[in-house]
Amino acid sequence: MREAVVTNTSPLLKRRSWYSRIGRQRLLVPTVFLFPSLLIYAIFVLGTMIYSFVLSFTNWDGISRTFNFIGLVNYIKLFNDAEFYNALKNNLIWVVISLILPMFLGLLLAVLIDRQIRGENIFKSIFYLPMTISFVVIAVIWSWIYEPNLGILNISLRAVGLGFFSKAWLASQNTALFSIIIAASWQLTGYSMVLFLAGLRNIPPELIEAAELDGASSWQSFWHVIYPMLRSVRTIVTVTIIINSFRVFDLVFAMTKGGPGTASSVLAMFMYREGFLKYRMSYGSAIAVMQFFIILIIMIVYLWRSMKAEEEVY
Amino acid sequence: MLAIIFLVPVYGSLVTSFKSVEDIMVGGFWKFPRHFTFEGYIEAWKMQNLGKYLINSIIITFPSVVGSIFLASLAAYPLSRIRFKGEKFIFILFVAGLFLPPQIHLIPLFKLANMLGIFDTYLVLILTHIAFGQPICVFILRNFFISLPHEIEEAAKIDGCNDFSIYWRIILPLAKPALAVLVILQFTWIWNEFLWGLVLTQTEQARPLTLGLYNLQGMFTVEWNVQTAGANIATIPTIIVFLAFQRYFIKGITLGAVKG
Repeated sequence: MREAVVTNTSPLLKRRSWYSRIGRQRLLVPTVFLFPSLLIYAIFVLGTMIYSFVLSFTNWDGISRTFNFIGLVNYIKLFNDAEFYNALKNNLIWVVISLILPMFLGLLLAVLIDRQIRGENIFKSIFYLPMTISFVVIAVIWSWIYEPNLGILNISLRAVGLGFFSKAWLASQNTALFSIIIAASWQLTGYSMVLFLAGLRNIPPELIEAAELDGASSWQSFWHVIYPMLRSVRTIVTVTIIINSFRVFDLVFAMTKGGPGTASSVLAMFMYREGFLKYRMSYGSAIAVMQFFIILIIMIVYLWRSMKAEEEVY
Repeated sequence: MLAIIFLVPVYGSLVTSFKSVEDIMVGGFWKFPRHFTFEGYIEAWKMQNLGKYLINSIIITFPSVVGSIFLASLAAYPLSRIRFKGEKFIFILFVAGLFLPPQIHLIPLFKLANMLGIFDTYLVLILTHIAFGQPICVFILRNFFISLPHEIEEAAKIDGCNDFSIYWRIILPLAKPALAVLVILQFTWIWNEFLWGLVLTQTEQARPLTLGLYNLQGMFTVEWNVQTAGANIATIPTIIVFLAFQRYFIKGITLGAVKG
């Protein structure tokens, strides 16, 4: 029965009925379908974000029922707060190291895996494994590695006669932040590797073959053919790393809580401490708003620049 | 070679979890346990109630994964298959959510949970996970739906299918690969999530496993066997899912590249 209807309908009629139906319910259907998703998204994600902006202009402490608007006081305080600059500096260090270590290692691994056919999946799994592990678990595992007396890092240093280097990595002013970033890099490397590998697989093999026919060494063909072709993947990895570096919280919270002192504090940690431990919710909101704008500005500048660079290429 | 270095942390955590405390003190990091013992696991599971946290995590994760993907698939349908005014704007609104730092939501979310009287319940975490899952799910599903040929639903419309049955009976079954990818990704992210659990729950009643492990870490500073045992318990489900669905996993990361 149904099939009969379809075969009896001319293509023209089909098109018209399709469009007229669409026309009649132009907004009804989209609204019904979008409503539940948009509602929960609007309340929990967009609404809370806007409310953070509002709170940042008040003196709410998190407990009182009421609060007053106090204008820019929180922001003025923030710009005079040494802890803010310290956290910001640590976030920037985090960005720089994350852009060097996991990105370089990920690219290297992707190139190596791309060449080697055998055991590709095993290697992929190994490097990717850390991505599936929770930050808290990573914190436990790496705290154990950094453990002053029995941890593998100090044991290894002593074993090769570098015992004088061994220290309480997470409890020392100079090394706490770096130790956490290394643990984070362990996780991020697999991520950038997967993306670079996907990028490498998208390069038409003829291009590389052509370069080799022209007598390019493998280094030359990498640098002049492959690397430029990975531009869009590099942009994605860079953007992700920057955003993540400004968001980091779990790992810092579970490994050092920002200590010793504020040596490994980051913006998210600073915000949590002010808002939830010291009950300065409005000040915490101001910190979050600043964090938001810092990410926004960096993203705009970066994307604008990489778009300009793209134009220059073509 | 690099692969071996990469696995050292995992090895250490596995080996340590089967040692007794004395064994750790004497044997150091590298060595195999002299005799395997489940002391660490028993302590973590029984005394520290990690079992309860595990159940919490299961109760939170499953509805969150299903809910976030279901709502997003509903939203992705008109965004990809129907032309209407404001379509682009709404899509961008969703995608923008991928870039926001979670801290910008934290305090109002805490306030909202208290206002609604759902602080420290499963419900608040489930709703939060569903809401924050929307950007990535809508993004991936919309891009997948849009790649399906339009003729499908033209034929279905002639047959008298309404939009819901087109979505439910035609588009969703065709989108299985994308749905599978999202199930894996969402499962891993929600299972591993820490911050919402920290701020929106307070007691053993509703706290997820990641928080249980965090408590453990605070209480057992010397007993590394208990800590690593707890860490392994928390990791087993995601590792199983990862190994079973590796292909989807890696595909998902490439599809939803912006979310970390």
